[in-house]
Amino acid sequence: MGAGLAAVLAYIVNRRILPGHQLLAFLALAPVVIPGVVLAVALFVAYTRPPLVLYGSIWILFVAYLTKEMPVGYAQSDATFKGVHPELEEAGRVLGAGRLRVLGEITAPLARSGVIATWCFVFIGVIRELSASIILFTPNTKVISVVIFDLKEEGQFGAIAVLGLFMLAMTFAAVVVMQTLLGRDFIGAKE
Amino acid sequence: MPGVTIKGLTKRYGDVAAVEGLSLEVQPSELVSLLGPSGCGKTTTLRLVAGFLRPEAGEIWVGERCLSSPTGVVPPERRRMAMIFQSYALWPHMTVAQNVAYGLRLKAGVSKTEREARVKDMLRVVQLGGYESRYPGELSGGQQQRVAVARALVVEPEILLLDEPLSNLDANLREEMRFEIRRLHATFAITTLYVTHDQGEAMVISDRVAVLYRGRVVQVGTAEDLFQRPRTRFVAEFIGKTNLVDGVAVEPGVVARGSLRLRVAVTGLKPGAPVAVSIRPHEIILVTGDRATPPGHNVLTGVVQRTSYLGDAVDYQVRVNESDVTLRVTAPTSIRLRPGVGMRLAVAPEACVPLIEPEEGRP
Repeated sequence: MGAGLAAVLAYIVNRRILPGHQLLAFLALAPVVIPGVVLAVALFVAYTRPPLVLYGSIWILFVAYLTKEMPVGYAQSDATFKGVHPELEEAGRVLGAGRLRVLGEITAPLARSGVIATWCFVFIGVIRELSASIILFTPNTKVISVVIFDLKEEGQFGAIAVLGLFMLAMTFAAVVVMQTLLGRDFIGAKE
Repeated sequence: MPGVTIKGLTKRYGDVAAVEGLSLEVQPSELVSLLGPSGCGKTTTLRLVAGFLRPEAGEIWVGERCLSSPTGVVPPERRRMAMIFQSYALWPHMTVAQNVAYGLRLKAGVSKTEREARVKDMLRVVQLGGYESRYPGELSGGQQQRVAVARALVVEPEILLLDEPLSNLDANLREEMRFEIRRLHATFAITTLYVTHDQGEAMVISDRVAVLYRGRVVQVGTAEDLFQRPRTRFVAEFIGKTNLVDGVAVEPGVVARGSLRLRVAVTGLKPGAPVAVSIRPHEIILVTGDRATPPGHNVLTGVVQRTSYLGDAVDYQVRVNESDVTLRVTAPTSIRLRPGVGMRLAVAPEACVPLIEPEEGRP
């Protein structure tokens, strides 16, 4: 989800589709300077009162992760779309394909491996996230990193070892699966 | 096959006008080059014709259809054009056959069997038969170029646009592809706009050349027109080498500088007006000793300052006695003169071309 949004943003900025695209780029990159704890407190204050009460649900974590990982995702996607030469799209347009068709048949396949790499970066970042999670979690939405933090306070290193291994394995497996299932590069893709 | 009419086209980037009041008429089935130095607006013009940009002023017509005006632009996909890019822009994730077939897949009323046959035929025309299942990354630059040509021609466009298509090729291949493009144009007779900064390329390939300078067309004509009858200083200097003599018209057909008097190719000059005269280096004849000068020629005297042997000719720099002018002269190798030697120079009046608009287009 984060990778997808980042990709859409980067596409819009790179191809200058909307007015104000530079502001959009700035907003996407801005969270990088905000410490996770500060971001979490800000979200906590913002979403514990109406109109939007997200605190207590998993969604506040979703919003936090999305914000926090946006710069990473955006920077990755930006590089991906810079690598797809605009003339490749224009060649499709002149031959009779509309903008959406070109996006689907030319841009998307060429950007695919880059977007998958983006997803991996965002996924890894989210799984290990602690600074925002520790402020925003509730007993129902305790993520692994927070659990490990608690266990360490209790001195249960055996359990931590198990969870740590589990996290490691999960991250590793997810990345491998994504790479092999979707990231197969076609022959001759690189000029 | 319709022609293209461009009327008063203007496109600005911020405060800078890339194209300013450009007008050009391309006849049906004609190949016209847009020639100019970088930044003269030739690529912007091509992108305006392709429909990637919206003009601030002016119109682009193809046959009876108005495709671009400040109020509306028909999108690129509905213009029935094809374009060949400087980078070739082949899609690396598709095979050669898929690349070429792309435009046909989007065309209504072309069946799969017809499509395959046409792709195969076209690849044969560009001498790439048998390469159908290769990927662009596996081909050489020249082969990629041919695929790009096939991809553009197979859709039978009304208008073909080429944006410096040969600038990424090495010199030999470039030469070969010039004739190839000429041959394909003779075969398909598609109205073509060809952008280049290489005057040799423009002269070989085109029916007519439009010289662009600062967003305008300064002169349109055949290669011969431009070379022999340049109208502005810019055209005279950009197309081939030339000598420019700045002088003043003293009679309707005579331009003077100091005691130098040149009878020129036209007789409509206004006495007293400043006129620049262009003389091509190879039009000047060196006359040594007491040999006779050709009848009717302007005759000057001068002293050789510098010579360079070029193999097929000798390039002289000659200081003219009558005035403070130094002329470049290209002479056959049969006459060899050393620096310091005096001689006479003969130039036919027809070779002295007054530049009608010396101020406009001054670099």
